[in-house]
Amino acid sequence: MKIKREKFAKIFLTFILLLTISIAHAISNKDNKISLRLLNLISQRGDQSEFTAWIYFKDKGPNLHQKMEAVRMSLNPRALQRRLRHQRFDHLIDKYDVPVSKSYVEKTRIYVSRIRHVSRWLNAVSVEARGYDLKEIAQFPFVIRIDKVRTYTFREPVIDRITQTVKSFQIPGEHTFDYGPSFSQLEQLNVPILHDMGYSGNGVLICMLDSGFNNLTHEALNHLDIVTTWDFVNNDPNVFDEFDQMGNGNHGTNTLGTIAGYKPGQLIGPAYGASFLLGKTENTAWERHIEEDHWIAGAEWADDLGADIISSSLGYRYCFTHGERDYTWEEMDGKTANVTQGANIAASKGILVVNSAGNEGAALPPENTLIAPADSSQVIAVGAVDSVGAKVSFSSMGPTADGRIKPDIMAKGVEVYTSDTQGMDDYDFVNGTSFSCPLVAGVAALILEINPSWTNMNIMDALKLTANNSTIPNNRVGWGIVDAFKATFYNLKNIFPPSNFSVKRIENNYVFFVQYVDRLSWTSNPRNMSQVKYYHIYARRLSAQNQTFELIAELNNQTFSFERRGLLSDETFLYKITSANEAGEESDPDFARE
Amino acid sequence: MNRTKVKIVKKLITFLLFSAFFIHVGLAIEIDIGLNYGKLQLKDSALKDIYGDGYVFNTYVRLTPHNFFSIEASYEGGYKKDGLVGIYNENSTLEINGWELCGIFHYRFKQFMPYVKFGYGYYTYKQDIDSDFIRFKVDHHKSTYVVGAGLNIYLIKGFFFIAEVKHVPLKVKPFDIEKDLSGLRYLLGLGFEFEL
Repeated sequence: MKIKREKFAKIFLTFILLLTISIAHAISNKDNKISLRLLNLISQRGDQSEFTAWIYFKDKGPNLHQKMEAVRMSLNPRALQRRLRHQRFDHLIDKYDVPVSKSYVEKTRIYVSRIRHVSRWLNAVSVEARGYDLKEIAQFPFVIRIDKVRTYTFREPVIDRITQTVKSFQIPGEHTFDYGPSFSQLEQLNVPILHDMGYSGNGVLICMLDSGFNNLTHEALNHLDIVTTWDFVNNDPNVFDEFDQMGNGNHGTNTLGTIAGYKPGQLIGPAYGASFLLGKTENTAWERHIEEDHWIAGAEWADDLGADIISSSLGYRYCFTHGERDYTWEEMDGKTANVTQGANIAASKGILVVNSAGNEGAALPPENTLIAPADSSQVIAVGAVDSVGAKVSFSSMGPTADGRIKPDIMAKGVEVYTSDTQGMDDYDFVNGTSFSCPLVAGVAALILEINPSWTNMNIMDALKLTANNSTIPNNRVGWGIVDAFKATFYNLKNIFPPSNFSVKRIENNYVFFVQYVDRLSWTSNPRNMSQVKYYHIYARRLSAQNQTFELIAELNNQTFSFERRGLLSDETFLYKITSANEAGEESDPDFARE
Repeated sequence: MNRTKVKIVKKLITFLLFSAFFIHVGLAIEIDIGLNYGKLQLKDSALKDIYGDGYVFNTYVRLTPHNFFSIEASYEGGYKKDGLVGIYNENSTLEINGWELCGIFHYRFKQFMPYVKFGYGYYTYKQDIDSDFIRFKVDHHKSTYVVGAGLNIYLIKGFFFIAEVKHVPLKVKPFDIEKDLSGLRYLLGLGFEFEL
């Protein structure tokens, strides 16, 4: 009997122990879903206080492949074209494109005051909710993490406001347009020559993510093709300042004027002929703070509408809210900040993301002063130089925490001439990497107009590898100041196929029989400069069975014709020709057939 | 054996039987041997432009079993000319030669013996092109008929001079293109006769 009791006691104690462990685990699991920084804030302010938080879901619900197919069928034609440049047809859609599960959103909605944004890229919703409710939401099995929506200070460079008389250094008649005081900021990037050739960014869709856009009827802005607008802060289509809403349209007006202003004699932006999406993603009314979820929502919006380029003169590093820590320099590693993750996904969809490097000045290596998402390897981080090409002191410096060189490239960021927000014909000189960014984004639009098959990464490579410091890039100025002309006519292999490739079949009569000659001719490609060493000619006999090309001739760079002799009347060939440089790198082929 | 060759063999057998008949009925067989040399004038203007006219020799053995008729076997050669062909003006050589078997009808009048001849020729024509790019070279044969007329002039016993004009029609088509290698031969020569 005694033995039985002891046995029972042991079993009972074991049961109690297991129960205790399970409960403790459940409690700790719930708390683990909420980030430490959010838990700290909740403990400081109390459960009844409201917080802005990201709620991340574990998946996108059932039938993922069916949902992906539905997305494929409804993809915006512009977005489809952009993705086709960037990806294989069978990889156009991935899990990031699938909307967040409605069921998860609706179950969450019951507990929150407001859903601010739903992000399919992060598979999350940003909400305003009480601390107590966030803890309840954490218990849902489909919720994997809850974190604070980070709020940051918006900083402009610490520099005396420029009071400067209007100046222009343009020689009359030198270019098609009179650039007025905006000449130096474009001439430094070698943009006017592309304008002279008739390029203006036409056909390229640029999404501007900024703090708002006032005064769009300004004489330098009223020509713009603005496809649509959206205010992600106040959730309405108006991107200008409204008396009952938060916002500050000055910054956006300045960046928009920089990239696309058009008033000959005053202001011409590099991409004055492009089309625009204007997204207000920054709340700068009084507190001058910005929130990352608006930026990600704006980027997803840009993707939906088929934007080719995002120009973002925003960045996230130093927290506004007391008690929250800043992003550390170690977190500028291209993958940690939410906004960087969003930018990475945007880039994976083929969007070229151009971002200001930041106005945070210098730091002692290995620390950096970058702002997110400029730390991403897939984002062009643009630093600022002055009119003589020297780095400006406020321009942020790299390297990234994982050792990559930043910024990527430089453009003028001091005394940038742009449209003002006050009058219809007022202009201003402004400072900051905020204005270097749209200058480069405009150049990117010109490159894409001329090279519509280039991917976002092709453009980034071309910009970097043709900039004036490309041979010795460093963490002060990156690859240097952009050269729009060189970048536009740069090939990633640094070599282009010859031009005007054609084939003519000639009868060659040998008295008793005829053999045919395919006379191939071409001209040098003006984009090739002098790097062509050889032309390679390949031939493929036209038949269903034969799909392979054979190299039939390697010719030197002074040869512009080749005659393939001894052919019979029933032999037909498809030819391709490539240019090759000394290292043996070949251009893409050009094709012609008999 | 192809049809052309069968034809040639038939004609050859017929000719030999015919000749044997004359030999059989003849009292004596006179044999002439001779060598002619002269100009071959091509008919085709395009060929003339490339290769031009040339000179040929002709050596023959003639059996005369009858006062008015002879049988002649001969070989003609010597036409080998260089020319530039094709769009690249490549060096090439054209060569024509052939065997002939002819029946000759003649009449002797003092030192002169005019004659006409009819027969078959078996000609070879070759074209060599000095190029790395040509896949086919020509080395073909063609049988044809031969007509000619001439005059033997007997000056010394046993020896005679020969003057002959001969036409060999020779249209050939080794591949896709037909070409006319026909031409007149203007020949002068020397012969020797003896009796078996």
